Amino acid sequence: MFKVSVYVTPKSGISDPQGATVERALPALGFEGVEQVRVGRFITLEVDGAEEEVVRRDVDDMCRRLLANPIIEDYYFELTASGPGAAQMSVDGDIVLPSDAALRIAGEHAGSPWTAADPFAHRESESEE
Amino acid sequence: MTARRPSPVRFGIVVFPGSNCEYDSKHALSTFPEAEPYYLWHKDRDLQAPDVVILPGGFSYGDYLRTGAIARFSPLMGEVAAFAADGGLVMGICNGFQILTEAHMLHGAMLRNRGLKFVCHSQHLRVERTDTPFTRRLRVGDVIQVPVNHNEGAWTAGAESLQQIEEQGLVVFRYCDAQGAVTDEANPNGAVDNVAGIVNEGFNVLGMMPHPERVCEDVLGGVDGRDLFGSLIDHVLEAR
Repeated sequence: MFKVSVYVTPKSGISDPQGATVERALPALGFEGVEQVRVGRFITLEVDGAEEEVVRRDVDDMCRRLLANPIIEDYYFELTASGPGAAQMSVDGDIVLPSDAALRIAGEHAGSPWTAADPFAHRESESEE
Repeated sequence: MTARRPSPVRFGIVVFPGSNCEYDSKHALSTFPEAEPYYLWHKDRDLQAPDVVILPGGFSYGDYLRTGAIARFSPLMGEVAAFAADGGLVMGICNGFQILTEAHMLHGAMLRNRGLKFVCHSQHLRVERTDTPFTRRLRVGDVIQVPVNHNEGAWTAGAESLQQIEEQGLVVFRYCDAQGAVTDEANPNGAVDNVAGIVNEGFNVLGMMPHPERVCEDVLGGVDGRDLFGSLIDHVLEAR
């Protein structure tokens, strides 16, 4: 079993209105000097197979024929063999994270703005109407 | 039943989950006495002897992944591709155009509209070719008015493909202003070279973002769409 991460991005030279809009929005939040914002897609898959080369070829085929449109998009992907230490599937399909990974993720969330009661609270101090 | 029209021109309208312009298409075609429109379900495997296949507008498969990306795997699309390969007439409107590009039955691909703006207005189009089965009732340089109604209509193509398209003259409609000038201001979505509609090399497959089926009756604000369906009817009847 392989865990696969597929990254799909707009080809260089192809206009990316989403990226352009995000790029224009960032200075409004005070982030200056951000360029070349491109918005793509991130797709995760789990593929049953023993041989990495075979899985790699299949995933490449999936990307060319469906996951990306090669006329307008580039793609690349990473394979990770599922095994000890990595996230493992339990019998009923629920993801069971090793305890250290679970702790690390919990730690990241603790400092995340999304845990604040109102993620847009900072706006009030910026605009006083 | 009229004896003088024993063999009407059959328009098969393919309905995908999420299509929403199949009714408009069928209604518009029903105003032509020569036409016999009927629905086809995307899971069918028989086109039921059409003269023309219409891929209508809408949001097939919820536009998941990319517009038109999933619809092309419907069982009936294999039949549509074979029908087109055999010279059969196929017309894709809006989402239908998106499906045809994803199915590689037409050149190019669709991007989100420039400025991420959903466009919904009456649009002027300049007619670029009239030697196609879809435009024979028109004249080159004619300006027709047809509504656009889409979010992913910025047609684009690679440089090589674009050169081939222009050399072969596969562009049938371009976005223009009321005077017929093809300008950037008149381009509603940022499509490369103001492309609003193209045909394949065989001239038997047309894709267009604007909706001709919505301008087939005066009461709906225009009749310019009638020339397209009328052209198809003329073409089919003449070929018999």
